[in-house]
Amino acid sequence: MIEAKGLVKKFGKYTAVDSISLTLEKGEIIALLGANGSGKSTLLSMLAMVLKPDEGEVVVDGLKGKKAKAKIAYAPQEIVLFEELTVLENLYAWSSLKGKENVERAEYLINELEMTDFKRKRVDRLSGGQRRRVNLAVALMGKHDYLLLDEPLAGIDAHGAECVEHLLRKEKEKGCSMIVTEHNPTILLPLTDRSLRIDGGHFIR
Amino acid sequence: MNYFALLKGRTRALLTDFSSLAVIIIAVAVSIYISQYSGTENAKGIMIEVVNEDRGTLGERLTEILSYEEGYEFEVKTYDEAIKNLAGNKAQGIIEIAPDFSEKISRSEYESLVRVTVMADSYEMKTFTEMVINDAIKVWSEELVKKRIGEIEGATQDDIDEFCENTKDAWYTDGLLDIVSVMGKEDDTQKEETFFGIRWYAFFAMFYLCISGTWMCGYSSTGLLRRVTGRRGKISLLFAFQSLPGIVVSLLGFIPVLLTSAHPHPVKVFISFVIYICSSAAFALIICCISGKFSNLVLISPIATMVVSLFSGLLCELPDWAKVWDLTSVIVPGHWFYNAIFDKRYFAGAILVLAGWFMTGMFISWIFSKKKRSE
Amino acid sequence: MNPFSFVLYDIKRLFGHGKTAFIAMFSPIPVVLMFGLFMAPLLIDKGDAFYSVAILSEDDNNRVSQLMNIIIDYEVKTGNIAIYPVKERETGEKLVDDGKVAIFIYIPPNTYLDSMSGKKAVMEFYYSPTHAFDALVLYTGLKSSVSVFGQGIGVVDSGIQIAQKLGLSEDEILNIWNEGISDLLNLFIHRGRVIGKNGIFNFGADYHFRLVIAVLFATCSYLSSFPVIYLTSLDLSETFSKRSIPTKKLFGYYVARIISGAILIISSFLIMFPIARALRSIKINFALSVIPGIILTSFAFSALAVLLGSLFKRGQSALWAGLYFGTASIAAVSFLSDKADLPKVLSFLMRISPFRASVSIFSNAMFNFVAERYTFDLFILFCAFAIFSVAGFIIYRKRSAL
Repeated sequence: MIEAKGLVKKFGKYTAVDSISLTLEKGEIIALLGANGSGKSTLLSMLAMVLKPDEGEVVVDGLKGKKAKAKIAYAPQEIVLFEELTVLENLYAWSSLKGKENVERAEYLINELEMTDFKRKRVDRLSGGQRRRVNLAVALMGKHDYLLLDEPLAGIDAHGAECVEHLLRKEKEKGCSMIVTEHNPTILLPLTDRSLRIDGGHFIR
Repeated sequence: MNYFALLKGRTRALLTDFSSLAVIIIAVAVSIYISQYSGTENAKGIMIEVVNEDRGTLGERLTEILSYEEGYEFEVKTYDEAIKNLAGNKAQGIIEIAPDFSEKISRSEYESLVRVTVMADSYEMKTFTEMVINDAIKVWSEELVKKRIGEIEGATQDDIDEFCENTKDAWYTDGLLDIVSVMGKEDDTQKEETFFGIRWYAFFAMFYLCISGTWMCGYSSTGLLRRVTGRRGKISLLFAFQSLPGIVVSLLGFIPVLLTSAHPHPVKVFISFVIYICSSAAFALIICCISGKFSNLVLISPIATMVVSLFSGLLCELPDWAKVWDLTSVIVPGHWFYNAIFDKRYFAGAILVLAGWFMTGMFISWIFSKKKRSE
Repeated sequence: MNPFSFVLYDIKRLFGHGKTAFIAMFSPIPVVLMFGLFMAPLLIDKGDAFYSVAILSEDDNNRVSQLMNIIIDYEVKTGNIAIYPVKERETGEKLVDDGKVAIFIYIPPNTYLDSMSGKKAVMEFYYSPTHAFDALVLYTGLKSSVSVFGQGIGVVDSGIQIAQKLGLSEDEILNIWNEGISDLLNLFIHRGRVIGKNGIFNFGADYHFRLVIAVLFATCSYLSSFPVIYLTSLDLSETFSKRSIPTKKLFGYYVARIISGAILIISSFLIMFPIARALRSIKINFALSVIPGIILTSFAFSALAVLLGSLFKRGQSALWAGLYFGTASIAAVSFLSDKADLPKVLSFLMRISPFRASVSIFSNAMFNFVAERYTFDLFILFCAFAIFSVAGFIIYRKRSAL
């Protein structure tokens, strides 16, 4: 379970997230919805422990700090990859950085996300949608109990979105809990257990 | 297109970019320092260790003569202490006076009287070995003359002592033979004043325009120029208005440098600098277009400006065998600025060069933007 | 994953990140070539004489001519100078003005007689402006030898005064004078042997070449580390801050970055060094002693680059810092490292400066090997590498973590 209590984040005078508390149960999938600038990405970054909150804390399965962080896989909204390396090299490199190199898992993700045609291409030569898929695949390499995805379908075509949905469904079946942010909830909402809407740094009902 | 808005924006960006502004501030400080304190600087205070292993007395005489040499500080140490200081960069040379220094001199044996170890990572040490040899020769000369006196019938120790007393300061006075250098008639204008302060500032100013020109990198690496021409804007005016703040900053920095240099024709030099800096802006445009981004610019711009400034004679005088570079450097803005500093003809050449670089800059930036489009 | 795979991936990233790494690696070429063009006359060791010297002595006494011949003879024998005797002063000056000779040495009448009688005699060294660079090298050596000889004449003169006081006849005094001057001339013939070398003068005339080439090596290797600065800063501000990485793995990646940076710097050395050897033949045993210096310099500068990249949030700021730091260090090494009258703090900093150690290793190991200094400089570089690595990793870890 991920428990977030009273999370606050300010950037200068602007409050991006204003005292948000949230619980993600084991095996649950939450859709986090909201307009541009509502605070979705900031909240997700804090839950993923890549952004330190000004107030509040995040506890994962009763753990804090590095041990808690090790249980979370995070796919940020920005494409965070080694641009000069190929898709395959990125998957190997990131999996080694996180834990152990896992060739089978890399092949599995390449097949699931239909990246076989461009797996040996340099990332900086891919289209936006292709890079988004690689970004997601990198997040899914390595062991994780919780998956936090920030707009995983941005720039991906309809077929690609289906592949992503199919993959996430399989992850859910394995017992992985998720929080997914998305502008257009149409494809992913059927997958989710509940949705939360955020606006101006608060949850709204 | 609102070029004045561009000018305003660029001015604001330039004045808040403290990293590049520091280049001009440092340039002004260094140039003023060079103007005020230029001239040959003696090798002051280079530490040298002397290891006197001589069994006789002449080693001490050599040490005494050495101690009067300007530009060095000598200390007498054992070999182990000396090598330790040399290793730890506390000294830059060792003079080892051989144990049989006095004996060899008395037997007229020249071989290896003194061993000199010089650390070559000091420019000032290039005449050091000559100095040591000269001082050894001085000791020897005294001994030879003493020997001649000793051979005179009736000469006593008192006479030799008197000789030693008379010659104690002989090596610190002018010799009775000298040679002076006279440069030939080809170059009538023997420059007494080098105006290195102004020249180095010109180099720094060109470097400043290059390194602060990341906005010019955008001319080649983005679709900016196509968008400008698409809106019926003119690239030349775009460049002119955006480069103006950098040119003005360079000119403002030049004023104190010019004043402290005490140049006899400041107005002429200032006008020539205006033309020079405008040409430099065009040169900077080409460098920035080729670089494409800051990480390349920071490598290319120092080398490019150094090469161009070196061959135009701004950084130092060209070696005289390299006059061919002096001829080819007519295409470089610095060549004409150099001419202006030394009261030679410059105006027409400078204007032509400015026009040439400006057009070349426009052309190259346009070519790069087209190349980007085709990518 | 094979640990070397990290290094290989990082090298691919360094070289794949635009042209920067290639520019860094090849930028020494124009610098060294430019330097070589300026130093060309000094670099011509063999071949035809490149000084042509006209000489005229109007002095009836041949003693001074003997001195000039002693000094110049060695250079003639080694083929550095060609001598053209002339009969008139105007001829000599014209030859210089027409560019047919580089130098004209003129010994006026009564030069020896004047110096014997206690009056200062001055010779002329007339040179062509187009050959000033070569001419002034010869002039410097000549002047130092001639002025010592001139002072020596004064010492002989003091001896003559003692002889006069002892009541010797004029002939005897003249004899002593001539013998005294012969003694001086003999000394000058064997001048170089005082330090165990052949030749008469200009030992160490190429020290500025040694220093400049060493400074160029250190500067170009430092510039080669700029891609490392930039990429490290980008990694920390954009990549690692957004993905969680365990410290142990981060350490592995950090080490891989230092290694790949060192490889980039070594590559630029591999380009610089043969060019430097081609410009000036360096003995192979000395050349080999540079290798540990190259390796340690590369690692030290790579660790420094990673440290600088870790300190700054923006890649551009990190590069600016690198540029200023490098410029200040190199300027300090070029102008201050040999000075004994610096404040204590500055003096200490100069002694432990990895730039200074690097310059010292190259200039000394290539030309003038002193084992103790060499070892000390290697030690300094190693310590610098250790300190930069540790400090860099602490900051690297802090910035890549929450």
